[in-house]
Amino acid sequence: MGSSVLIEAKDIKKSFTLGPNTIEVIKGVSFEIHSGDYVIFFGQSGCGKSTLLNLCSGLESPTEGKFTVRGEEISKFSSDQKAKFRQSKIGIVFQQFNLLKSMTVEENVSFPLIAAGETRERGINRATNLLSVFGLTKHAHNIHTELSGGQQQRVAMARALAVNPWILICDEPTGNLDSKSADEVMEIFYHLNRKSKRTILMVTHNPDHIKFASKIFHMKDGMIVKTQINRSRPALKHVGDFDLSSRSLEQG
Amino acid sequence: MRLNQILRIAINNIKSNKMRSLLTISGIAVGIATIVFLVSLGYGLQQLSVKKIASIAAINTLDVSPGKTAVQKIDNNLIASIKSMPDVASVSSLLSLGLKVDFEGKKTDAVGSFVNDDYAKLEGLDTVVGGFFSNSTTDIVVSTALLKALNIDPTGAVKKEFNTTVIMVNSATKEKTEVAKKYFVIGVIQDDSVSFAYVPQSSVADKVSDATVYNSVKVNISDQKQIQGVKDKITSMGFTVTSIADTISQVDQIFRVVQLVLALFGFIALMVASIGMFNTMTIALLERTRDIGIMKALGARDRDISKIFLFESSAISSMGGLFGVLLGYLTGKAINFGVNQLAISVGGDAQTLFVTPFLLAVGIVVFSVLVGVMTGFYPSRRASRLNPLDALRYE
Repeated sequence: MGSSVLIEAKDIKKSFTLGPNTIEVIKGVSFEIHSGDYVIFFGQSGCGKSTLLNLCSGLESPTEGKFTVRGEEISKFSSDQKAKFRQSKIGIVFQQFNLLKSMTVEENVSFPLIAAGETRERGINRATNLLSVFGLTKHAHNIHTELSGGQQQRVAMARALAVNPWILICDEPTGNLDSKSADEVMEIFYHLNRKSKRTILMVTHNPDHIKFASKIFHMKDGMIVKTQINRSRPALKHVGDFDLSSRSLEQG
Repeated sequence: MRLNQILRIAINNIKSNKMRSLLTISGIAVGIATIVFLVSLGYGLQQLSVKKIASIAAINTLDVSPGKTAVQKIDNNLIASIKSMPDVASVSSLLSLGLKVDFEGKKTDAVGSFVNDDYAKLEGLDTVVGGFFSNSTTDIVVSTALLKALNIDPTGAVKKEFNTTVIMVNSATKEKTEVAKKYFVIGVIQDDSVSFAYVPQSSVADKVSDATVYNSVKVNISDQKQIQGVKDKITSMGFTVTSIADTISQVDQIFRVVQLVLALFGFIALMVASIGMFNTMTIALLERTRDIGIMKALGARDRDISKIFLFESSAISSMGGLFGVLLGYLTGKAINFGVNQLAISVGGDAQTLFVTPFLLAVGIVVFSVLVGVMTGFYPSRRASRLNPLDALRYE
């Protein structure tokens, strides 16, 4: 691939202390992720894939090794710098959707912009556009409990895209969804990668999803046991009424 | 994060848990109201006592009476020398003489206080019926006890004609002379224990000479700051000098202690409310742990999270403070009204028992905000230091 290196991990180790025991979750992992990649960390639960993802988003710091994003070592960032990094460079989608309880759908989507110091007006404008892209306009003023799981995850995706980030980090985004909603969400991610060139890092244990990725890291017991390059990705399918072109996503 | 957005989220949090916010606000309000109520009562009672003790003119007045060691007597010479002192506005003397009163055949004895027109103001005298004499040689002001002795109803006493005999004593020879005088009642003073009358000194002016010894004089000082200076000067001449200002300052001191004790009770109530609020904020922190994790994962800075909590607690406490001041003030007013209704129904006077100084009200609201910042400080610090991943795992 001719694109530049976006994320580079070198001999990453991560251990947690639980009482008197130290548990090594990541046991020396190195990889490179290029801009525009669709990466899936695949493996059984407990293999360390979520921890690896949290290292990428700066929510966790490695015990050993070097972790750089665009040449910057994020584990050396201060708390404020990490906040700024998350504000501007990455969008996160969680398994549990994690919408903010006291806010409407619209306010949830605008929150990353508000956190970055934008005005409410600017945030709501952007949210309105993203919600229309994801077919959620009529739910703008609902609270999250009034939506289905699939709708909530689409809100979370819209929120992850609010600051127009380079990288989307997704931890089992379909884990709490029925298969129809899960397929829809996976198609949307595929569109985001193919049409608007977002780099996607995803953790999943569902083998059906592997086909969308360009690069698959198979993990076991805290190690990458196999790196698979996928050259036969499926053709883009039409999903819902969503216009996921990069032009419409960047509006507002 | 912009300040207005932090504020918005904080207000949203308060609104999203209406019942709990309301209860916490009520707790603070009751604490603050207790302080306002009790301190206002302290102020009210203090002002009432001071008002009872003295009129404003009386505060600037010194009472001069013969001292134990005085060689000099209170006579016209002394009055002239006091008058010549700087800052002395006026001197009013009191000559106390025996008085035999005859009203339509009924006779009684009374103490006659022969004074100048300005004496009533300097002494802070109040009449319950009629007024005090001025520019008259025939008007007198009598006590209710004197009227009772003569079987006169105080409300109909004005203009009643008294035939009196004034007993003058020559201070040199101790020789008594009796002078018959006719007086008309112009005012009545409430005093059921002593039969006395205030009589114009001018009515016996022809009997008063430089040799006359007065019982006491009142010295009115033009500048309140100079009271002590004048007092020291007269005291050094061997006279006993007292001022109502002394009494008032003693009363003030007592009430300062009373207010402090009352405020302390209120403060205890506020402490209880503050602990309740601290509890609320800590529970809010636990309840919102997951949301804090989400906000941080989405790029909110530690200090933004901390500010949300601080704003929330100060908003709750300042609302509690405002409602509390209002509640305390209105409760005072209501109780005052009730007490006055009761007092009037049993024939007493309406009094102001509760006084809430504006500065006290403002000070207490400011104080309540401070309480909010203090109780919010620990939860806000904990919230800002939460690890976002731990917070996200929190159920």
